[in-house]
Amino acid sequence: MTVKSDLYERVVRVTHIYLGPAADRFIARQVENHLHKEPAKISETDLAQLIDWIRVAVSLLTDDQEIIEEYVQQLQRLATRPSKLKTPVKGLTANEN
Amino acid sequence: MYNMNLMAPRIRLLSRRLLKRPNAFVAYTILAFSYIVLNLVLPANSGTIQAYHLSQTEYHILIFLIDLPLTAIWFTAFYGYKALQDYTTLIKKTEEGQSFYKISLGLEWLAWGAPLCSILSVILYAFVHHNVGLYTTAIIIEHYVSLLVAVVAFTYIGRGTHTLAKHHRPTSRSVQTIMALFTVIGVLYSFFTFNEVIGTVTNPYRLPVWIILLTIIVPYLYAWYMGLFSAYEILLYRQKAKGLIYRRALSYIAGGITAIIASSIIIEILTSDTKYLTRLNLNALVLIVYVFLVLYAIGYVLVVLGARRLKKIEEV
Repeated sequence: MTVKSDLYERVVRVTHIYLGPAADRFIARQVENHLHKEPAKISETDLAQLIDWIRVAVSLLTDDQEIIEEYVQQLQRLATRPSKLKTPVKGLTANEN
Repeated sequence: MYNMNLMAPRIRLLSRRLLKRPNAFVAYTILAFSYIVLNLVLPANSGTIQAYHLSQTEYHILIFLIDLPLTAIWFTAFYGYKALQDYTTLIKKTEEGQSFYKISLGLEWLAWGAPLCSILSVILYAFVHHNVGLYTTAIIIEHYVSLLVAVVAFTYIGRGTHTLAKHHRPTSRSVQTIMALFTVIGVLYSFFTFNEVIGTVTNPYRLPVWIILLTIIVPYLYAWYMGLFSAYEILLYRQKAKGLIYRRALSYIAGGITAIIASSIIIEILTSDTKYLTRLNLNALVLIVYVFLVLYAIGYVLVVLGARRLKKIEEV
């Protein structure tokens, strides 16, 4: 599993809380239509832009600003949360990284 | 001369076009218009005229006044199932897409069934007007066509809701409540039906009791049980589904389907127990039936609202 698809999975997992079974399709659509990338290839650098597009899209689905902000904040935490596989430290084993 | 190699694809294309399902709104317009015109043009139902002491003119005026809101209710039904099917085309490759499609097929059967049964009834009683000997045949055909619509519709809806809810185990309390409710409905329906049939010179079904039991009561009870359990399963799916925004949209659909099933069952029970209903004042009877028809329409409106929200989630 690469770093990029791991990020996609994490974004989908967060989205699942709000869009349920439609989460995967929703995120794939945002990535393909707005970032012009394959969903599995999104990187950390795309996350900010993706979050902006997700905010716009979700605003069309609900007027509940509380839910929108909560969702966006959860996605923004993904950017600050270090991925285990991001930059492996030399000298450490895979498990320790 | 025609090139035979080119004919086969053209024939296939023509067949596909002919067999293509008709546009819902075109079909509704044709059916509604046909029903209104037939009601005004064809002779009146003599049984209804005698039961409520109406003249032919009074009957036709009354029917026209009833037809207008009735066709409006049919419109909501056609709009409702079409909206749900439009949503399912966006997710047809998913499991929930297949489930919602089956539910939409059931709603489609109910939507088409109402005007088709009404038109059939008008035509049959027009034949009866000219040949009284056909009265029994007309009644039997009318009952079995309504029964067929209910059985097929609730079977489709049941298959759809069961697939949606298959990962969620119903609680024992829920199952017991449904069984209790079904038992009450079944016993009451059977009581009222047998009360009409046994001891009367010409029972309203014009069939022997054992045939009524096996071919009318049992299938209706099967259909209503499927309907009740489907209503429970869609509500269970809505309760257990993940996704705050998704679940809000689903609430409309679950509520709508429940209202449609409940009102369909009640309307069918009311319209089949004519012995008790003919004792009611005509205004009261029309009012009671219309209360449940409006509930039926509200159900389809909720389905439209829910389907639109779910469709939006798949489009933005």
